[in-house]
Amino acid sequence: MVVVVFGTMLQMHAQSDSQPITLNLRNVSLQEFMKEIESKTNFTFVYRDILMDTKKDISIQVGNKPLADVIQTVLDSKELEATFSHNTIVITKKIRVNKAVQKKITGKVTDNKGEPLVGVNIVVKGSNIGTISDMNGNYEMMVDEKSILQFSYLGFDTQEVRIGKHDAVNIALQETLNSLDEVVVIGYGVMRKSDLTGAVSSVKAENLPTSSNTSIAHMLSGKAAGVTVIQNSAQPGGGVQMLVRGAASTGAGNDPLYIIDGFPVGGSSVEPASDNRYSNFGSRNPLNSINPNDIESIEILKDASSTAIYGARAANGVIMITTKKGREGKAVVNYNFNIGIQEIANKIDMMNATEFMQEANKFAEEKWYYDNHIYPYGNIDPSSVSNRLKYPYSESEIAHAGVGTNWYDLVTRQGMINQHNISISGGVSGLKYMTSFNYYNQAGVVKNSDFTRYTGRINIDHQLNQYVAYGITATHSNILSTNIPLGTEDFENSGLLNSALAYDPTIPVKDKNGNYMMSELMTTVPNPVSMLEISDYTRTKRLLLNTYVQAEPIKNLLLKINLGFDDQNGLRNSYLPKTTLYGQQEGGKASKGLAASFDKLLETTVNYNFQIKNIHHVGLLAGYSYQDFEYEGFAASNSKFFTDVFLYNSLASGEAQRPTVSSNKSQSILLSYFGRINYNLNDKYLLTLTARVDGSDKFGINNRYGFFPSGAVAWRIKQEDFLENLSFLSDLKLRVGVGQTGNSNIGNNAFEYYTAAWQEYVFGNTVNIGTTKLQLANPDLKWETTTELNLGIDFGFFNQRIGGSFEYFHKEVKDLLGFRKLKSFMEVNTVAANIGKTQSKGIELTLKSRNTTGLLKWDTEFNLTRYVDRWKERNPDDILNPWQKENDPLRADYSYLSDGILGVGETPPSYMPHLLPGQFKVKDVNGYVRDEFGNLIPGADGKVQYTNGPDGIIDQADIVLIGTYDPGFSLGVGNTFEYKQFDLNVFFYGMFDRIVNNATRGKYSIPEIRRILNGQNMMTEVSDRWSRDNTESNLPSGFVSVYPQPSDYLWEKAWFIRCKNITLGYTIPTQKIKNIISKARVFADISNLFVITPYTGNDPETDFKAGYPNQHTFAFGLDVTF
Amino acid sequence: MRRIHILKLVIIIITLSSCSLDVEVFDQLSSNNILNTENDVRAAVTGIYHELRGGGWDRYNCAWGSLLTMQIGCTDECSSNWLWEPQMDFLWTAETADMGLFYMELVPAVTKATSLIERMRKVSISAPLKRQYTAEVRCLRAIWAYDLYDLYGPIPLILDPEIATNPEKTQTYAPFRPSIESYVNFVESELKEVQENLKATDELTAGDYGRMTKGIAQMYLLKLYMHEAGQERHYRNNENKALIWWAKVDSVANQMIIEGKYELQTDYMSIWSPTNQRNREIIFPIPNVPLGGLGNCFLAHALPADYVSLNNIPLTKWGGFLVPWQFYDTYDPQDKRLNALLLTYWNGKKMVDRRTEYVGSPGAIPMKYQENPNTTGQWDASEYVINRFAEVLLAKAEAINELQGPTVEAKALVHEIRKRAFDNYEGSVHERLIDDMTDKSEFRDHLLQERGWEFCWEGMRRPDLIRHGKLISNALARGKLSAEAKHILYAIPQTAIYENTNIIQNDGFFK
Repeated sequence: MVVVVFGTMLQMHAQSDSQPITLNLRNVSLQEFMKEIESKTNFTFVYRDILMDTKKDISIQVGNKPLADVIQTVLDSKELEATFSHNTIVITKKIRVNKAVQKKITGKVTDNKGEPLVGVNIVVKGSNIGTISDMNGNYEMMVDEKSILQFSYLGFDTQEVRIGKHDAVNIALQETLNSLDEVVVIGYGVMRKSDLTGAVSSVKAENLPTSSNTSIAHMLSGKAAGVTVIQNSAQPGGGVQMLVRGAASTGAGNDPLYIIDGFPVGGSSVEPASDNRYSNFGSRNPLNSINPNDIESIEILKDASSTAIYGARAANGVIMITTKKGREGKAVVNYNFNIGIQEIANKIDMMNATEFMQEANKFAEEKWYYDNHIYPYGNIDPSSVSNRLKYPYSESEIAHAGVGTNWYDLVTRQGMINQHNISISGGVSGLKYMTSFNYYNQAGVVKNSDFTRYTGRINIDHQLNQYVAYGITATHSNILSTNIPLGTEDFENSGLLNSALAYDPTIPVKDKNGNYMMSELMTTVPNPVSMLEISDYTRTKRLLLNTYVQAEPIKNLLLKINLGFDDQNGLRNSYLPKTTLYGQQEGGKASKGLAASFDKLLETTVNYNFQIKNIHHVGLLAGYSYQDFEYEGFAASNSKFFTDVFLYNSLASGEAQRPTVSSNKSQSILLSYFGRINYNLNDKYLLTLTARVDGSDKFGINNRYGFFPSGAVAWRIKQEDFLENLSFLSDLKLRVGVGQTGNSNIGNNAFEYYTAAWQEYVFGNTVNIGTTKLQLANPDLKWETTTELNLGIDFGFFNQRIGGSFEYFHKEVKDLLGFRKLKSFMEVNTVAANIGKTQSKGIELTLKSRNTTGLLKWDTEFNLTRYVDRWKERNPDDILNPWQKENDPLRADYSYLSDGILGVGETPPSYMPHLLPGQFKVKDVNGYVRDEFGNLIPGADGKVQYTNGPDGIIDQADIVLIGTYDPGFSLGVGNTFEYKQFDLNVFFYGMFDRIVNNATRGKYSIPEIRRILNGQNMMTEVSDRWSRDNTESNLPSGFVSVYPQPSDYLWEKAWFIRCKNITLGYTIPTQKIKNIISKARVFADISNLFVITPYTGNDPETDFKAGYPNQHTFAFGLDVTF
Repeated sequence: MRRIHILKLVIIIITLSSCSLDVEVFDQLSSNNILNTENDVRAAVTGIYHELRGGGWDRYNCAWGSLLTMQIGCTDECSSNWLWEPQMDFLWTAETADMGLFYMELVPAVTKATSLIERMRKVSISAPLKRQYTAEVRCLRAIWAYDLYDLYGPIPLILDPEIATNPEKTQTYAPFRPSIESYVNFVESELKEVQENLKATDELTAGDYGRMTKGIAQMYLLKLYMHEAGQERHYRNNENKALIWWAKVDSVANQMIIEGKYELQTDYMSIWSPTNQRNREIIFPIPNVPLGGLGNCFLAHALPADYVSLNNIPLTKWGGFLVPWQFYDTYDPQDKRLNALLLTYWNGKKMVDRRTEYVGSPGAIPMKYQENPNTTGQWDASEYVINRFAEVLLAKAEAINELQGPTVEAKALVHEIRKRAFDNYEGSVHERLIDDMTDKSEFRDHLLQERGWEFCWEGMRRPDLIRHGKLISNALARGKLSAEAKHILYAIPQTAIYENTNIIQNDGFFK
């Protein structure tokens, strides 16, 4: 079979390499000669750069001569020879034919994914016999049985194979881990990694676990130094806070700019709110709409010198997402699927019915002592108390209670993930294509939390002729997400999980008539199981399309025009049926909401590269960009439906007195000019200068345009002669960059406006619309400016077996966007302003090591990130709260400090005379300067002054900084092993030195213990609280003192190490069926197997009050390439 | 040639796509289109009325921090299942946030009113309409000024349009507290002046019901005079001045009675009945519709969790409001006003007796507002009553007693109130109780008690007790041992002092 195919190919080229050609060239280089041939025929040349000289010494004048003859005539003069294969002409060094060769060997060279590699150098070790692979990765040569073949290719590790008895040697080359020649994507272009002057992290898609994650954002946790990914919610497709080098902005957001295939996405979310009381469905990630399987690479531009080309939007870093392109050659069809199950990792320990009743009785008794001031809460004689002690539950009720209803279990389930992905890519005569289809379906561990996504993609590039190329990348996604109420509000607005934790465990789900049972004690919280009858879903659609036309009218001068749009819309439907508590009150409530955004982009760039005397390499870029952002929304709702049948599909059938409608619209424009100069001297000294001017209608009238310059230099020390002999050192480079970038995410805050929304008043029976001034103008309002210094070292040892980089950065954000407080007595008492400065410092370390090669391959990747964000300077007009200090961390948490529990018989502190046993003493740490009457004595600046020491009064001056939620440092460690057909990937990441407020304890434990008498369930830990018979406890009694409450005991240490994934793969040997299947791999994957942490809540990363529980995921998958 | 074409194309595209950066706002109003027509002015005035209710949770409503709870939370008629201890036990400080809410919200509302009055001055619309709208806004501003004064004492308000309309100027503006005299003068003169341009209640169209009326201005004048009379007698030791204020009380009450715009309802409970809305006893109503933030949520606050509607109305029940038994038990058992205080209710299985079966704190449930089928459970359509005509009659009785003693005229006014509270009143012990009184101070004490019974949970108790000099003694008698003289006022919120240290805190709240 193979032979037949090969034979056919030989015949084909036998016909075509003899095609006649006419040429008339004078003093051209070899490359120019080949270009000419390529333009006149369908052939493409394949060769190695080292074979080419640049001498313009070729002159040829022929008419209608056979192509092969013409080419060979020219090549002869250069000691080269040509081999024709299909429509490829492979050029190799002319070799003397060794008479000792004994057999013909054929084979195919691919990368480790089975994609053919073109132009791989194949030589017999220790000789000059060799060839290179053709367009389809195939090669053939005559060799001795004893010889060893050496396969080498740029960016891949060289491999050797002993021939032995084989007739065919197929080989898959491994990509080099630390290649200096690796190409990375930067703003408006690409660059060799070795030429970079800025701080750029690159993540290749193949290293990301795609099986149990909806978006690439979820997969980046711990993957790149300088990138902190904090998952806000563990729900399917849950939101992610992605931070590049910390979060130094306080009022304009810290989201990086995402650029997908050259299109800067605006970041507007099209998630309409619903008009039912449960508007909070958790958070969702805008990158859910991009199929992670389509992604080729992700580059994170971190420092100002790399990002300044994106000007006013670049201050939080830029994430460049590049999708896969087709390669010329036969079509590669890939199909993969995976299926997984999910289990809740950690449940909150709540009381069962028996425990609940016992604890309620115990609390009622304690409360009777407390309320009636009986010892130890006072000196009242219990016999004189007329108010008798009443226990909520009788002995027999407790005896028959059992475990009762576990509401949490009733609203949760085993989760399921199911994904199919198919892609076809390839290319013919200048046209390259990549198409894909993805289906992802996840049924989350909480009932009704489902996520279904369909995406399709077409990427096409076409080299039309020698001068003009064009292309398109287009992806469409359609996501259906069911919305479960995840709000952290309480009582009537309780979300599903909040209700499930709170609900009385002593009552059954339904009564005898089949109606949902209601707690008699807590009637504002709906029966959690009834909430599963709410129909609420959102469908979001996105078409992201970007096209380009590019021309090269003269060599190395590239003109490019990009045109694209990002069309997104979201539709939300919700119905609260009458079987639910609040559905009943409203007579059923239906709503529909629509949100749509349409962003347009026009970009033109001019790129020119040239060199002077072969040592000065210069690259110039200039460009113009126009982007327009449009956002609009519409919503309608109605209630009082006679039937639940219509759901949200017949709003007109409701009989509400005043059905609600609303709509909104906004638009903004960004106009930009930018340029860059790259200069490379002798590959040793590198310089990059960039600048951008951004204009936006969102900025104040006096500040319409911003200018953002940057510059960076790099020194490739290893290229210097004096390091040439240090053979263990394979790379050493120093980089220094400075630059300014902006954050223009200021909303429409610069202008005065009046609103007519939510200003109603009722006259008669009619709601009248009022107006009010809502915002003051600030004509000087402008973007935030970040000035950043970056120092970087890239290093490599032992031929890049160990390599990495270290970065240090220092940035200062000035003109922080925020709201300046005006006097509280003013009609509008804040105004948008550029206030104060923050600073952020940090270090990043990336290490990659190839520990072992050979049969067992073991690679390790390690990264560490540390940053500290602090205030540097605050607005002098801003009135700080007494506990805030000038240079506090940006996301600081404050509390009164607890100072132990007042014991029985202990005298309370003099400043807490009403404190009772079992209540927290509060530390007196500070106070205000007062005169003898107690009046505050203001300082010269008119502000209050502090005693900076105890003053015998507990007031707000005693609130202190207790820490921050931001990790002090975070790291990721990945290990990859390969042994024969097996591969294993183990990845850990962690965050350290941070605190989290365990808000679940705040509601279901001691601070709210009194609600046990209102039928609210509690965590089992409440039984450890202080009481008359447990006076040694260090947890308070739960009877709130009249003094400020310290909350520091609810803030827990929350460092963690998460085993993010363990993936084991097995590549099925496919030699026998390789014409059908070129590669097949099965894999098993465990995500989030365990977390090591001192935090007692659900999860140290994704937890919030009654938060969506994090899961273990066990997945199995198959990946086949045809 | 080809190169030049492409360069030309690039230049053309750049030029075509360049455009101006003028702002376009689609869903908000700018200062150009906010106040041009009569409809614009009407909407802007509605925006001022909106300040009475904000988002529906405090201010002139019933949640904690509202005028209602501020005026009863520290008195003998109020108890709660919620953490109201700082107020109920006289432990509030300048940092008790909920006690400062009313201040923090209504002070800027006054500034907003000042600003609109100034901006309306320049608008050209029909003169009578402009006069009416201006009077309404000034009346609202005077009402807020009075209630703030009642709760916090005289405070600096922004009445100067130059300050109100110029936020940058105010950054260095740190006014001192005004004198009582100038503050009271301002409120009094405003309430007098606006009457001329306000409509009488019967002149309002149905669609305008709820707007400021001459009667509301008179009502607040009445409250101001009574407040000052009490202050002069008990806290400024100036009995002569007190009598001058009482004479003013008498005169305003008289005028209101003579004008005949209001009358008592014959059935006490019908004042709040969903079937008797907009009745002629009501002077100052907040109209409601059953929508979030625009409805009445008194019932939701008051009803106990296990209360079941006999009318099958799905109601929200938070179980927060209570009337302590000690207060409940002062009523005569035959007093029909007890119908407004729920003692027993149906829980779906049986009648629950609040005296013996309760969860949380003991007490009866204040239930003047009755089940209204026009509800979304939490928010119902019953208008909220701030002031009613019974207050005018009892104010006049009190004024006459102060000026002339318990005359027949004074007693007749009290009879008017009591006769709807008791069956077969004429000739009964209930009537004789009043008629037998001869002593001025006995009659005065009775009036305090009568007002307690009549206005329970209507927001009168704290000012009544203060006017009679009894807030603190009453608290101490109830075992509220932290009550001190300073508690006749709430503290100025600490945040207001942080930003303006020229504001001197109310006596006793420094520490």
